Amino acid sequence: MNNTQITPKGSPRRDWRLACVAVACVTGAVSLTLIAAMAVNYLRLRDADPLASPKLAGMKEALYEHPADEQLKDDIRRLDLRLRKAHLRLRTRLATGGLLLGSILIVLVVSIRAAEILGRKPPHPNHPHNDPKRDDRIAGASRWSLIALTAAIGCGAAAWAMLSEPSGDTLLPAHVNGQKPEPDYPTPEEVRKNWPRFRGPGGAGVSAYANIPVSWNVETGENILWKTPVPLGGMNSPVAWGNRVFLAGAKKRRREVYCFDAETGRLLWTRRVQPAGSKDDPENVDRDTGLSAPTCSTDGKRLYAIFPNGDLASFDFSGKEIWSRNLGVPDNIYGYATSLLTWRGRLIVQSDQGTPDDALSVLLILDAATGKTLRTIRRAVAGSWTTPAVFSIGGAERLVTVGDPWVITYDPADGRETWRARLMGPDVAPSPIYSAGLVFTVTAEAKLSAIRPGGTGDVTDSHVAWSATEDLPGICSPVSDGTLLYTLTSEGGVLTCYEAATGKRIWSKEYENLGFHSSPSLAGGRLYLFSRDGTAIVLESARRYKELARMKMGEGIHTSPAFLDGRMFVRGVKNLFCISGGKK
Amino acid sequence: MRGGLIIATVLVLTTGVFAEQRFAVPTEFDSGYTKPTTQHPDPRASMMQYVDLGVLIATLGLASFLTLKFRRRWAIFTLMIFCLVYFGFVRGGCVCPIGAIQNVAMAIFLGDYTLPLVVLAIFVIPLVFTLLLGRAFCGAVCPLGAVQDVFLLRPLRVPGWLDQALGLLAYIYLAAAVLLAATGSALIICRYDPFVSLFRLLPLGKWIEALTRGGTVPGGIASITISIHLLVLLGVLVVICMFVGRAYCRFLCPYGAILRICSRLSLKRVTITPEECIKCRLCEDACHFGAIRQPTQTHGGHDRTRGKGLLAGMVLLAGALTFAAGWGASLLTPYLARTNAQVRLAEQIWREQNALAARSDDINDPGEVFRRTDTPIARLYDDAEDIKRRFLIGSWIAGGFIGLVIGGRLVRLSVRRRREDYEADRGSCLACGRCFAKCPMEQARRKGRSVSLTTGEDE
Repeated sequence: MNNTQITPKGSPRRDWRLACVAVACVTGAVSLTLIAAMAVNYLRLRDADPLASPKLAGMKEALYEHPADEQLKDDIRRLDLRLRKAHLRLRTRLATGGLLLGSILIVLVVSIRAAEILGRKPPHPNHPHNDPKRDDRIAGASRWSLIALTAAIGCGAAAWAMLSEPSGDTLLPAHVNGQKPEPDYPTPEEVRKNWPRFRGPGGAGVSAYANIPVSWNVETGENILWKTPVPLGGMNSPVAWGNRVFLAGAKKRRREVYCFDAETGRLLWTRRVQPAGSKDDPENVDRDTGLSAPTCSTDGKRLYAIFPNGDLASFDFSGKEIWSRNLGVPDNIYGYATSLLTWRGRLIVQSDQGTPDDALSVLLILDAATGKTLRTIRRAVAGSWTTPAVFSIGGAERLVTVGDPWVITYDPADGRETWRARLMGPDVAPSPIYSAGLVFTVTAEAKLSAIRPGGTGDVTDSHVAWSATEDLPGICSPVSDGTLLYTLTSEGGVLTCYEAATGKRIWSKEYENLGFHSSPSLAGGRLYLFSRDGTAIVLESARRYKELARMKMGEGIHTSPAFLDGRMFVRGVKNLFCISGGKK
Repeated sequence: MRGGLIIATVLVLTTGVFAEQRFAVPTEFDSGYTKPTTQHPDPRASMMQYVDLGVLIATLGLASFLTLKFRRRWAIFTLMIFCLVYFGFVRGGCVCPIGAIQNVAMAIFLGDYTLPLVVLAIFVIPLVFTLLLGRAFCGAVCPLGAVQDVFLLRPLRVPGWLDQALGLLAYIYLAAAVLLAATGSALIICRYDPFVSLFRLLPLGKWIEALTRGGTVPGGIASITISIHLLVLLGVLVVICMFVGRAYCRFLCPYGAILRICSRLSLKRVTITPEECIKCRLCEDACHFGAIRQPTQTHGGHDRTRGKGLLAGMVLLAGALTFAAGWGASLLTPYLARTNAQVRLAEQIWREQNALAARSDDINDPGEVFRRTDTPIARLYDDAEDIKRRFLIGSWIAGGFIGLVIGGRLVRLSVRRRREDYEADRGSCLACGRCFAKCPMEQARRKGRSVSLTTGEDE
C-alpha cells in the first residue's frame, strides 16, 4: 500500500470530486442564507401573535364601552383578519423554508459524502503497538477519567442545589405551619427610613428626617457634602436606599441607570438598558419631558427603571441585571413620564395612553422578582403623566391612580377596582397624595379635589369633601404635613396654602419670574422648593408665609429631591448634589 | 387513582403550552357570518400500528441476517436508509423504543397507567433481538442512528479514556428519564429528542396520508410546527456527529445503554472475520465508533498480583460508590421533585398563601387554574408530599444505579482479558458492518481465496 492520492490531476474521478465540492459549497452557502432568513422570520413570527396584539385587545375593550358601534366592529373584523393572515403568512414562510432547507441539506450531505468518497485515500494503519504496558496505561487513564467525570457531576449537582433557592425542603407542606420565611420585600419601617420611589414613601414628598440643612452654598461648598456630574441627562428624580442613590439618564440611542455612593458621591456603576425589542428614539417625546422622565423605584434589594420607549429593567444593588423587557412604546403625546411603584414584591406600571376611546391605557402588575406580568388591568382613561401610590386607608391598602378623566382606586392585592371619581381634565401630571384622611388630586385643566376615600363605584357626587379651582398646578404634585396642604403652579410660581381638612385657602405667595417643575417637599417642618432656573427656597410650613432661605444651585432643577438621614439629594441639569449639614 | 390524577395534571398543564399557539374562536357578530364546519380528520387506523410493528420485526430480522450471515455493508446501509425514511420521515420518529422506556417505567411505577401492548412490543422486541443476535437495531434499524451515520463526514477518533467517561452520560440520562417518568413528572426523552425536528421538516407521513385521501395536507403547510430550540439542538448535534461517529448513540442514548448491557450477553454477535485475523488493523481503521479491541499483551507474575489487588480495591470502591451516589442523589430530592408540575403547583400555592409570591389572575397561570377547580389545597399538598416521597425512593435507586454503573466500569477496566485477535467489543459494537467490509480475510472468503497471514496478499 502507499499513501499517494488516488485522484490524480486530470482524472475523471478528480473532476467529479471537484464538481461535488462545488455543489457542496453552493448548497452550503444557500443553507446558511436560508437559516439566517428563517431565524429573522422566526423572530418576526414571535412578535406577530394575533392574540397578543395590544391594538386589537384595546379595540375589543372599547367595544365593551360602546357595544353598538358598528364601525368599531368592522374595524375589529378587518384588523383581526389582517393579523391572522400576517401570522399565517409568516408561518407558511417558515414551514416552506424548513422544507427547502431540508431538501438543500440532503443535496449538501450527499455532495459532501460523494466528495469524501471520491477523495478517499487507501487506509494505511500503523504497525501494532508492542508496548506491554499499553493496556494498563489505557485502563488507568480510563479509570481516572471516570473518577474525574463522577466528581464533576457531583460538583455540578451540588452547585445546582445551592443555586436553586430557596431549598425545596422549606417549601414542603409539612412546614406550612412552621417558621415563616422572611418576605421578599421591605417592611413599612424600612420604607419610611428610605426614599424608594418618586417623592419618597407613599409619594407624599415628606421626609422622615428633620435634620436637613436650612441653607447651603454651592459656590463655597457650605453644607454641600458632594456634587457629582451625571453622565446623561433626564427629568427623573433621585431615589435612595441605605448608602445608595439611583438615577436614570438617556439620550437618543442610549438609556442608562446610575448608582452613586450616598456617602462620597462616587459613581459606583452604570448599566445600559436595552432589552430585546427595544426601540431607540421614540416618537412624540416632548423636549420638556425628555428621554428619561420616569423616576426609578427600589424595594431595597432590586432597582427598577423604565424609559419612554417602554424599556423596563431590574438590577440588583451590585449592578447585575435581574431581568429586562420592552413593554412597547406607549402612545403618549408628550412622552411617557409616569414613575414606577413597588409594593409587596410587585412592580406596578401605570401606562396611560391615547384617548379614552382608544382603550390603550393599562395598569400592569408585574412580579418584581421576574418581571412576569401578573395582571393587566385596562383603564378607560386618556394618556397621563401621574405616578400612582398605595395608601393605607382605614386598615386596607388602596392603589390610587389618576388619569383623564378618572381617579380610580384598586385593591393592589388582586387588582380589583374599589371606587372611582370623575374629577380630572386633560394633561394630568400632578400625582395624588393622601393626608388628613383625604386623597388629594389636582390638575390645571380641572380642579384641586379632596376625596373622602371609601364607597364603591362612581363616588364623584358623594365623596368629594372640598375642591378649589384657582392657581392650579399643571405639573407639580401637592404636599401636606397633615394639617396644611400646599400646591405650587409651574408657570407663574404661585405657592398656595390650604387647610387640608376644610379646603380653606390660608395664604398664597407668587414667586415672580420663577417657574417650577420640581414638586415641593417637606422635611422638619420646612418646605423645600427648587425652581427651573436653580433657585432653592426654604420656608416654614406654617399658617403664615415665612421664607427662611433662598439659594442658587448654579444650574437648572427640574426634579424633586430625595431625603435620607441628614441628607438631601438634588438632581440638577448636570450634577447630583448631596446637601448635608453634618459634613463639608 | 392518584397516579391518574398526576398524569392528568401533567397532560393538562402540557397541553396549555400548545394551546397558546392556537387561535381563539373568532368573535361572532350579527353579520350573517357562519362559522365553517369543524373538520375532524379520521384517526389513524388502529391496524397501522400492527403494520409498524410488523415492519420493525421484519427490519430487525433482516438486519440480523445481513450482519451475521450476508455480511454486506451496502445491504446494511440500504436497509438503514429505508428505516430512516420509514421510521423517521414517514412515521415521524414515533415508532420509538427509546421513548418507550418511559412508558414502561410509568406502567411499572404508576398504578393507573395502562401500557399499550404495541408500545411494550416496540420496547421489548429490539431487546430480545439484541440478546439473541447483537445490536442489529442500532446498526440498521434505528432512524436516529441512521441520521448520524448520514452526517458522519470526517470521523475523529475519540481517545479510549474519554470514550469510557462519556459513555457514562447515557446511563445518567437513562436513570433521569426513568425517575421522571416513574414519578409522573416529565417525559424528557421525547421532549428533548432533537431528531424529531428533522423528521418534521419533511413530514412524508402527512403527505402520504393526504394524498391517499385525495386532499391536501390538513391545515396547509403552515400547520407544520418546528421547535426552534430543538432545531438549534439538532444543529449542534449534527455538527458534532460530522466529526464524532454516532455521538448520540454512544454517549447519550438511554436505550443504547440498555442494549449495551444486553449485547454483552448476546448469543450471537458480529465477528470481523470468521477466518484467522492477520492483524492488518484495517478493521480498527474502518470503525468510527471505537468498538474494535486490540489483541492484549502478556503480563508477568508481578503484574498479575498487582492486578488482583487493584481489582479487589475497585470492587470495594464500586460498593462504596453505589451507596454514595444513592445517598447523594437522595439529597437532591427537593430539587428534583420540582420537575413535577404537581409539586411546583403546591409550592406556588404555598408561596402565594404565605405572601412570598404574588398571585396572578392570568387564566393560563397554574395557580389560577387550580383555584378555579375548587380542589382542596390540603389534597394538593398531600399529593405533592406523596410525589416527593416517591422521588426520595427513586433518587436512591437512580443514584445507586449510576454508582453501580461507574463502579462496574471501574471493575471491568481492572479485569485483564486475553485477546489474540482484533475483536469487536460486545457492548460497544453497533453492528454497522464497516469492519468486515474492510477486512481482507472476509473479502477473500467471499471470493473463495486465501490470504497470506504475513503479507496480507492473495495467495
